[in-house]
Amino acid sequence: MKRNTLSSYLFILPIIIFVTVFISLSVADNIVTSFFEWNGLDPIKKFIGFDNYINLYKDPTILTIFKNFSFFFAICTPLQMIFGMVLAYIIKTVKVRPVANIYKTLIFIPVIISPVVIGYLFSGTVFEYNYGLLNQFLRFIGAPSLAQNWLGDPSIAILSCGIVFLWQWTGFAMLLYYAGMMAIPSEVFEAASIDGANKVKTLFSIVAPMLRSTHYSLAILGAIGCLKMFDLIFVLTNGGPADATQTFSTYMIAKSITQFQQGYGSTIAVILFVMAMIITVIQLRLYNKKVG
Amino acid sequence: MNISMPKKQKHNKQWVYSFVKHFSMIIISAYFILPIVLMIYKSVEGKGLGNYIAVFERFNISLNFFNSLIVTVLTITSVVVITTLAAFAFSKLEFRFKKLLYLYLLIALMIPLASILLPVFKLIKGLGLINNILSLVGPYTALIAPFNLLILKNYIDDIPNQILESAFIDGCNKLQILYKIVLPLCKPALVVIILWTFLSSWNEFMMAYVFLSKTVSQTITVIPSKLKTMFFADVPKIYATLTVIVAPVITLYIFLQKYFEEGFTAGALKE
Repeated sequence: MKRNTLSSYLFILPIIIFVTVFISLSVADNIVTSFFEWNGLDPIKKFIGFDNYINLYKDPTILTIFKNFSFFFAICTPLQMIFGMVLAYIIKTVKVRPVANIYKTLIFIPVIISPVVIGYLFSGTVFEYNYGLLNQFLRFIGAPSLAQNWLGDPSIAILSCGIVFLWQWTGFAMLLYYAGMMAIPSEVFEAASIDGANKVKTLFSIVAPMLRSTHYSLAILGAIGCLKMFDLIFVLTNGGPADATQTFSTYMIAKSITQFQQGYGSTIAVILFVMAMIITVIQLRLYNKKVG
Repeated sequence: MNISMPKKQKHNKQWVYSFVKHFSMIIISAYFILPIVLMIYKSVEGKGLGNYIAVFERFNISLNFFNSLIVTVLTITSVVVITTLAAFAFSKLEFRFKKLLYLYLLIALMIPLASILLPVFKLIKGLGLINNILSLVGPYTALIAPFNLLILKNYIDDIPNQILESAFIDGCNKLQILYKIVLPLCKPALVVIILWTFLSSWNEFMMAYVFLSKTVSQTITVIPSKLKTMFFADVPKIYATLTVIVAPVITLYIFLQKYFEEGFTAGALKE
């Protein structure tokens, strides 16, 4: 087509404006604010250089946040992937299409539900101490001593959040693996005999290696998802008890909005941005490797 | 090994395997859907559908529902307009710095909402738009558009250039080519981006929670955060409200499952 470049720019101008005004300028603004002490209300900000960064380095909660991020990313995400892959594989072997579709739909539904709703649902119906499903179940099977204050005990609250995270996103991994498996020639699956043991072997030694790009995608999306984690934690624990379940986002909100330390809040936001950029660079590296 | 097995025994084994498979899949599916079934069940405890009527009439949830609807519709409109323009340009037009600008937009895809929240809040405050639902549309568009750009550009890439060239020779300008030829061919991808935008906008909580403090201007996802104070111990009404938030999403998903799933897999697999 004729390359009248000037008018071509008009096509991309709106999206460039939106992204620049709301995203790029905001990131820049955060970087500037992170060098100030500011309560978010006063017209006057006090320049304090790198003090916010030094305080952040010394802040024990930041360590907790990194630990929680690692827990979600290094433990929950791989579990989601393994469960998702196994479920996708089983569903793929179901011959009756409508039945397979019902399984797929039911497992996927949690993915599209607002994390806010899921948070209330779990704190109200599953984790509640007296009537919650989990404790009632434990009492029912004769293990009342295992009943816990799932969200109120600092040592297990993060585990409870992990359970919900796992519950919500396993369906996503399942869907992606299912789509990935559809691209694998059906002979690969047919080669596996009826024997259950051989099927397990087929999945892990033949099918799984062929799904490498799905593993990459899920790992990257998982990393970004764990980094962004907010709604669910905010509703389940709001970062508590005793900051045990803080994430970058919940802590940023707590500092800047509840405690009026916007300079410090912006510093957390900058760290969050840097983490996202590190993940992006890793992703681009992997992508280029795949293409090249 | 299987060959030497008597036929009947092999058949039995297959049957047992199939039974175990379906039995475990039913348990697993139940595990994923149980909390949602429980939510609906608890929402009709006591007064049945009366709980819903009360939530809508006495507590004015309909207002918040419409706020969410307005924000979502406006966000969908602006996202669709700016992404179709940009996706067409990035796919079919030539201009300088094309790759660099595309990369710039894709990097925006990775930015967590929390890392732009405070500056956008300042901007909105400066514009006097606090407690105005319109304040959400701009930042939502900026956050959601890059992902849709990715989906739509990949889709337009598959449209052969010859079709566009011949239209160009016939005297159509670029905008006409986009609206008369490209968009009608993109219908499936457009459905995907509309659904994706709907889902992201409808479910968004953090920004809505921080920007909107007055009940009348809040979107529906913010409401649960104050349900306990609104309904005290009236638990069924809390679940009725949660069900109202989820209902449009699940309804759309059931009817347009294929497009939802395409949206979720497109971004991940095609990059």
